Amino acid sequence: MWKYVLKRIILALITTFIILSLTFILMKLLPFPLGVGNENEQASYYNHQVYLGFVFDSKVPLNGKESLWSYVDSDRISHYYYQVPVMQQYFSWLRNIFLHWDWGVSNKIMPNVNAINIILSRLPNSMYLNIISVIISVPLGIILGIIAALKKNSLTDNIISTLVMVFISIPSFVLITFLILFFGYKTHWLPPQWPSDTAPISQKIAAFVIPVMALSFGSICGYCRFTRAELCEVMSSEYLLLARTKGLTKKQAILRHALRNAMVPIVPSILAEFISILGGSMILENLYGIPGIGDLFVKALNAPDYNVLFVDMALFTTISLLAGVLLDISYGFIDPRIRMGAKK
Amino acid sequence: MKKKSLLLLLMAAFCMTGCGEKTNNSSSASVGSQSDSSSSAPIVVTPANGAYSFVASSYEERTKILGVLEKYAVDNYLTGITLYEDGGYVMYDPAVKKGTNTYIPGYGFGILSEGEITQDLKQETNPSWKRYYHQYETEDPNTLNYMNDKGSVVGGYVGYFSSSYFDTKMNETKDGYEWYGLLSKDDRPVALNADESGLATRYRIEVKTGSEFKYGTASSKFASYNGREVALDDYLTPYKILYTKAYGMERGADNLSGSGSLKGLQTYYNASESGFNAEEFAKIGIDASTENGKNYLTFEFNLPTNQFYAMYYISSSFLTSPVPEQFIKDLGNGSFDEGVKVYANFSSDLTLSPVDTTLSTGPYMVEKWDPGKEFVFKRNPNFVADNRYKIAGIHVKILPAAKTDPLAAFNQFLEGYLHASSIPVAELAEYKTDERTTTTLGSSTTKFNLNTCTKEEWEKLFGVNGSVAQAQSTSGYWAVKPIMSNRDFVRGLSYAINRKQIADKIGLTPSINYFGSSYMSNPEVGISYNSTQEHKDAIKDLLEGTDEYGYSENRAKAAFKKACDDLIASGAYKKGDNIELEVVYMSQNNVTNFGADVEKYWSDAFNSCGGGLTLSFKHFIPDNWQDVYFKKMMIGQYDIGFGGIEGNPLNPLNFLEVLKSDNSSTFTLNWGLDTNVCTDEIEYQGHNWSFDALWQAADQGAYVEDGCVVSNYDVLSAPVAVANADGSYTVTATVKTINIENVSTEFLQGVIFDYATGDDYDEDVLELVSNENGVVTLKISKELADKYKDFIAENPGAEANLGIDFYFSSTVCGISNMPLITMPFAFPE
Repeated sequence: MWKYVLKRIILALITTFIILSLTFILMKLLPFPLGVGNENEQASYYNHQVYLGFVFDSKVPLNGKESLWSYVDSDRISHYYYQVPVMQQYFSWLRNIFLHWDWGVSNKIMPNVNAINIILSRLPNSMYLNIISVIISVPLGIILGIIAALKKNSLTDNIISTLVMVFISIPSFVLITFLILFFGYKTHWLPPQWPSDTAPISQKIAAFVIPVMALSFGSICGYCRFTRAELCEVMSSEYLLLARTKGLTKKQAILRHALRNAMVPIVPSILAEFISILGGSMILENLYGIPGIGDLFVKALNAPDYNVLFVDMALFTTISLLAGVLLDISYGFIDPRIRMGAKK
Repeated sequence: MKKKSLLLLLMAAFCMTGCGEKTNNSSSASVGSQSDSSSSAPIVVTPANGAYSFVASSYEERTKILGVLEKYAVDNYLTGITLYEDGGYVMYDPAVKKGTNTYIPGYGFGILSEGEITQDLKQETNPSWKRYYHQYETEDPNTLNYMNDKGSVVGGYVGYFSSSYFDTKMNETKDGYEWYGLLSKDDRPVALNADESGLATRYRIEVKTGSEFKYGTASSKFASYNGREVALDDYLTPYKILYTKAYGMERGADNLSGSGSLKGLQTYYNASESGFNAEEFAKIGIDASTENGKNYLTFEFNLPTNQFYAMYYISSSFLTSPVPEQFIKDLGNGSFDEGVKVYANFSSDLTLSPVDTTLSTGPYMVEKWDPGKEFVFKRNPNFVADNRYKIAGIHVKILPAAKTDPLAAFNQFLEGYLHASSIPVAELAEYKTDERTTTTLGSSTTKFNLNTCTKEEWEKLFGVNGSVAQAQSTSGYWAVKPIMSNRDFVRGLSYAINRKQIADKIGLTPSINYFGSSYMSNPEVGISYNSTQEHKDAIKDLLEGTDEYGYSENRAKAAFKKACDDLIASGAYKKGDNIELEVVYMSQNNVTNFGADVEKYWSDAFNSCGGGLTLSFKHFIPDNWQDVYFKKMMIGQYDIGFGGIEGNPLNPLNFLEVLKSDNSSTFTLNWGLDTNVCTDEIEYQGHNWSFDALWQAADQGAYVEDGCVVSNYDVLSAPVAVANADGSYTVTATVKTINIENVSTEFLQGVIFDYATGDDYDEDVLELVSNENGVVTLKISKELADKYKDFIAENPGAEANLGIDFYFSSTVCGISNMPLITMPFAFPE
């Protein structure tokens, strides 16, 4: 078992490395953003890129290479700016990480600040948000799913199923726009934007409502639909019929046998849903002004701020892959029939 | 803040200098002048010839030149078709008491300087901040280091906690502004070597130090700097940070050459690639000295300039507000180099924020920074140099939603979180007449730029051998539409737009002017160029018979009808043809908000003019909005392109460089006429000029032949080498050197060079054998010839890089430089 877990963790780290490497190379292969403005301003821009290590300044043109920009300065010195080869940047990046654990500093988002520190400063907001969403959506989704399953094909089931279909179809970033409009601006019940650190505690707590609702609705619907389907299947199974014929009440049969069996595929899906929520919170954080890692990812991508982007990417990838490992392991605990890594 | 308006999105950098009156060269014919106009004889207007400079002319005279150039540009559609000015409707909370109710171009309402907050802000929960001025940003800049930031956002905030040598304040009548000394004790710098026209390269200012100016900080970690007196050496620190190349500041090379550049800066910048270079730094054109107990800074510019522009260049953009060197070292734990990285930033471990890493010399200081949420400034109690400021602080809320949602900030304003907001298009009808609403004037105008080139003109500019950009092959040529080069059609396009209707819809100010209202005819007293008679004359024809913004449906139809008749008669089109033009927009919003309306005006007027042709449009909207400039308008790949650029509002004449067809500004957007052709449409001081010639004479001084600006030096024939018996080579070339009054040109030397890849670059000065009658003879010694031949043999392909640089010494109207012309060279077989 432990050998299997270790193997999965190592594989997850290798996958992370491959994903990051491909991302780095593909990002750097995008056309280099050219300088704008008059000659002096462009010289400033390219010299700043030299400082950042993305570009080098040659005093002569290099045969067979098209320079990004060239000019002759007022001291009559020629400058030809070329992009540093991508693989050279890549190996330099790897060297800094593996030899010094140096993921670099931000050049746009928070100039000079260590990229890891930026991520760490924003991680709590995202984690609070996602964990609260999971805590709310799991019980609510399961309860609604149970109700729908127990009252299958009734009016209640139809209402729940219809609402599930509606809300599962609306992306969280669309939903939050309506929630902000309604609760933030029309009724004034909740803050229309994420408050600052200096805001009163009541406002800070209230600020969680809109993003948590936006993040949770989809998950609640997901859990609900899944629970309903699983429970309906179990309810029509022969062993449950046998349980009833043994003399168990409906309640006893559901609680002792049906629910327990239906939970086998549901519990692992909680982890998968958490990963999904994490991804979904990117645009949402941006819209509600939540200084989290999702918002940071979007900003770093647009800036572009490569070091911040890659650390953020590494975090998302690692969380997702490790969650996947946990997911697999959890099957073993929940369903005794499953044995991880067992030899035949 | 007011200084923000002085920032340049684009400042075509050219020098300001000149000589006295114009001189004629020996070839000039009889010369008309303005004094001739008083005689009864008919005025003889001849092309300008000789060296001219109007750099030192009065503002009135320069406005006349501006008017002449603008009229030519407007008449020939070099200015495109203006749609609106970027000012518009803004709502202010009733608690905001403005400095003036009259919007002052280039200054604003003076809210943060002369204004007040009279009531608490409804939604502010922090009792200390209830009377702060509340504004927003869509993104957190996370830095206040303006030296290392390209945008204008940081610059605006730096102005809150910094001081410049000279600043502006509202005049007593509250309808304009005036300049005054802030870090400087006097209101103007003192010229030390002024010539008879008032231009000088050296200026001195007495700066405030000691108890006259003190630093302020809200940081508990650097509290020892609170109240510390400004020392003379502190004035040099920002120059060390900004111009040391090793620090890689994003604005480091912005002012190394051109207008307002200081002597020796370029050399220092090049010499500081590996760090601060004290030896070279001592040679730059800024000197701190103390005489009789008074502290002075002396600035030496590369080019002579007048007192006003010297003041402007010295003080612009708060880049050089003093800071103690020890403070930078403290930020870097003893290392100046490390401190530079932290200055005005967060520290890499986030233990320091801009509250700690900045020192205030301005009216406010950084009080708090909550990344991604808000940053706050409070009044700097140590700022006693100017007692205008009454508002207790400034709160900046980060509002990311406002980036994509035009209602986000407006809703925040209505809810009482902000003190001001522009009115989104969707809310204009309801709030336009609200008593909280006021209108502002803009700093720039937005236009439809035009590609009016004929096929031949386009190929000359952008073909495979284009002078501006080179197409890869003929398949990449733009399909030039003959209708675009028809003047009547283009005028019809201008007449057809109901600018007022469009501007009302989107909440901006309708305009037909090329310049925004903040462009000054006289920057010293704040006279807007658009208010001058010269400007009114320039656009008179365009406005005749129209509403006040150039709209007339009947005139549009008449112009279109004439265009159709001419185009059909010339065979360019036949009756029944549909002409499809491509209109380039930055985003779909442009089309939605006004583009579709404008196109409807155009097609309705054109298609109903009875000309027998129809007009339709297709759109190009790039993924990246900047591509409308770089991939379309700047390389002539468009018919009509939406967009605008800004220049230096204090020098509109300089900004006209963007209309030159040689693209010397690198930002020409309207293409068609060759602007260096002498024309009788441009007449000034009894001469005809090309647009380029008169512009250059006014901006920096020009050598002009037959009304056109030409170079006073050139290499007229490729260098030809003849092998000598001793293995050396004799090289001859014909050169042009003009020497007349105010123009002095001399051939200096020839330098042979070659290079391969990497740093394998070599050059050697050649022996000058003779220089007679325009024929230069140089000698390549046997040693040098063998050296370069061996180099070529060892490096395949290097023969293509072999060349000779011909260096000249040139002085035109007092501006001296040492230009070079590079010619390819080959050893004979």
